Amino acid sequence: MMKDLKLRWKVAGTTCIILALTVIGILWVFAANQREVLKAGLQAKVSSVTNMLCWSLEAAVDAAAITMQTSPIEEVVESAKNDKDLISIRVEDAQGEKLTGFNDAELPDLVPPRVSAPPTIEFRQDRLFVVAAIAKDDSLVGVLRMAYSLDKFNAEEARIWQTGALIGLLAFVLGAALAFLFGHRIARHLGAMTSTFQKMSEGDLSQEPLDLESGDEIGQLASAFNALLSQMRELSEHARAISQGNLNRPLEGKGDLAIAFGDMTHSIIELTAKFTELSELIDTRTADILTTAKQQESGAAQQAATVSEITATMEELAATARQIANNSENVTKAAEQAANMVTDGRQSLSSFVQSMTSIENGNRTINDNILRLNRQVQQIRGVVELINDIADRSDLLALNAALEGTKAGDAGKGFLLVAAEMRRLAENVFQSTAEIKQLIGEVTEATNATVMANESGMRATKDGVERAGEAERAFTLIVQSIENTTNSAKQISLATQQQHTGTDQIVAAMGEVSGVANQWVEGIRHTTNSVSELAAFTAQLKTMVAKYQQDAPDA
Amino acid sequence: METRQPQASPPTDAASVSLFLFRDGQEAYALGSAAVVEVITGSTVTPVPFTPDWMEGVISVRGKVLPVLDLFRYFQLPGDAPTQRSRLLLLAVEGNLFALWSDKILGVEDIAEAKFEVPMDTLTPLLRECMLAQLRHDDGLIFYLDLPKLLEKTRQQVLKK
Amino acid sequence: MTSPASAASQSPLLVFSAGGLPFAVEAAAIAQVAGGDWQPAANARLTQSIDLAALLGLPQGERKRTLVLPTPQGPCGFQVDSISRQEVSLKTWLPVPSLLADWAKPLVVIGFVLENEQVISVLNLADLMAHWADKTGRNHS
Repeated sequence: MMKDLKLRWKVAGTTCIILALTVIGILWVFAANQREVLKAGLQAKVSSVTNMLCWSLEAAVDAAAITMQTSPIEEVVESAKNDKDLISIRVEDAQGEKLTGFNDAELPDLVPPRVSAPPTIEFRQDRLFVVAAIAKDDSLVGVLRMAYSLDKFNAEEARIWQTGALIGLLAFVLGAALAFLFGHRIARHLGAMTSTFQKMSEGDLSQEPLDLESGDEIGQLASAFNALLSQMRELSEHARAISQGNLNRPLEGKGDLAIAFGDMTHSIIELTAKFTELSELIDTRTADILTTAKQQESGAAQQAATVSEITATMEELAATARQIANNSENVTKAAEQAANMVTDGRQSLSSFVQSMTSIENGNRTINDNILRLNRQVQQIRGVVELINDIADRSDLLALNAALEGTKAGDAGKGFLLVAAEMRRLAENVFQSTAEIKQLIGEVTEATNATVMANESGMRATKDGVERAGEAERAFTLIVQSIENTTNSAKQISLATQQQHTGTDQIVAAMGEVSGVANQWVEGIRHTTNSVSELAAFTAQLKTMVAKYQQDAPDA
Repeated sequence: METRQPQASPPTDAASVSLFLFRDGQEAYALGSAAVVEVITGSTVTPVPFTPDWMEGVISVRGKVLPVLDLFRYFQLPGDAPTQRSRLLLLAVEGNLFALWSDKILGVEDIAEAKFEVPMDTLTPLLRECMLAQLRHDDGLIFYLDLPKLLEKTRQQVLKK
Repeated sequence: MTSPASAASQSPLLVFSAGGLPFAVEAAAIAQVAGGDWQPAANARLTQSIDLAALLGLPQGERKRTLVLPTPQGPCGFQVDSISRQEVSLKTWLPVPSLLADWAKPLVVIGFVLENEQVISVLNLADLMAHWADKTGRNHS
């Protein structure tokens, strides 16, 4: 602000001084000029008076010469006295003798000019003195002396000076105010530009452009400044876009800086492309390595698993072998026990066979008896049928006898009674035979059941005897088998003991293999981890580069 | 045993008829109450050879033999045959005694002739021919049978065979 | 055809069962009661023994007896199940109601007898015979 004020006051002060000098100069020139004008006016006035006097004097001289009358000169002096500024006047002849005059006591004795020369005018204090030569035919005939008052002139001059001073003051004040205003305006715009420039220099490009519509140098300066600001902003935006990965952003603006920015962008694009290529390559390689390492790892793991499987299997085998050895010992014991039991079984079997044989004989006798009984029952059935038939016929006979009886009228009534009795008898027989038939049926059923039971019993005893024979043969085979089993079990026991020793050795060997395989697996796993980290790093790199690449032009 | 004497006295109202109402299976019938001689509990019906299926057989009532007519079979009515038959109506029509089955006796009522309606077209032609009228009753639709016409029709049917 | 008596008439009857139902015939109309295996003589023109239950549309029975009917053409047999133990007896006949006579075609019942509240139809075997002959196309006239 102080700077502003200073500038403003500097402009205002300078302007004021210049104005003051100019006004004073003008006034001085004007006053001088005014004096000259006044002088010229007086000269004209004097010249006119002089000419009139000269002409009058000529005539007066002529007349004087003739008559010596002074009247024409007097007339001229009198007419000249009409001028109110004229204080004194005196006309002298060629010898300096006063011809006429008015209030001429104080007139100085100025040397008159030569004939035909202009009158001499001299300013003394507040009076103007004039001396003119009056000539006729180039010979001096007289001298005119006059004094004019300068009061009027001095008043005029004072008035001019007053007016000039007033105008000068007004011009000074106005000029100072305008100078201050212009100075203030310039200072303000310059101040705004200065602060914006300061912020720009501090890196802050978020300034509003200057709002100056005027077409003068300040306006041009402001628009040039705005153009600079927008250029800076554009570059800043472009740089930000690049930093965010947008390499496609078209760059507006011209000039070395814009070209340099464009070149930089191209360089970045080329660089990202190369980066991408390189990271793809690394990625492919790491993937290959990783795949290989994983394959190796899985292979090694499989191998380790297989080794441990084999170890487990071998241990199982060893355990199984121990069990087999135990079992075979048990088998040997069991077989010896079985051999004893088989001997007992054979004895029991032969007594069983004897019993069965006697049962079979008994059954055969029963069967014969039942068959005989059955035949007899069938004979009884025939007899009963016969009795039934006879009773049926008796019934019919009785019925028909009764029919006859009805036809015989009263004589047949006795018939009817006998016939009815006969029918009742026949009915009784029917009932009895029906009961007998039922009994026979039951007996037949019972005998049939017995026959069937007996037959199945006979079959069973026969089967029993046969089975006993088979069992005996089987027992013989069993005894042989038991002996074979005992021998085999002993051999198995020996073999399994040998096998046990072998498997123990294998298990130990496998333990070593497993240790080596595990170390291998550990190494591969270490490699895999490193490569995985490398792959992750490459992926990260790829992501970063991809940010640029996806925006890069398809050059 | 429920016994009814034939109604001899004329109806009090000249425009009304004394009807005997009963139910057989899903149908309800009305008869001129004068035709009903007696109502008995059911008894054994003995079939008679070479008679139509609607002639169920004969019963004996106090030394007389009466044929039993099955209305359900005669009119060839739809649905299941009645199973709750417990009463036999003994009827005397033009000197002929015969019996009809009934589930339930609805009673004897004097019914104004104004309530008689023309039988519906949806009934079987044989049933319509054997009807005097149809009645709307609390128990639903009732077929008012023309018994002489019914007997005439049965005879015609047998002869036609 | 033996006309049914309008009033109750008395006549010796033979009561039998056929197809599970009791029937009766006039004893005088029967020549002989024979066994179920009765066959007419070889020289008879009618060499048929008729299953009565089948003819009446009844279920098949034992057919252990044959009622032998004398006809002008020779004896004709009707196979029946059994002869009632009441056998030939005098029964009180009840006439056939005229309405039933109108309803039964052909009418082979000539009356009814009552036994223990049961109605037994009295058959006319000659009419049955004629009906059978019509039905089977045999003409014995």
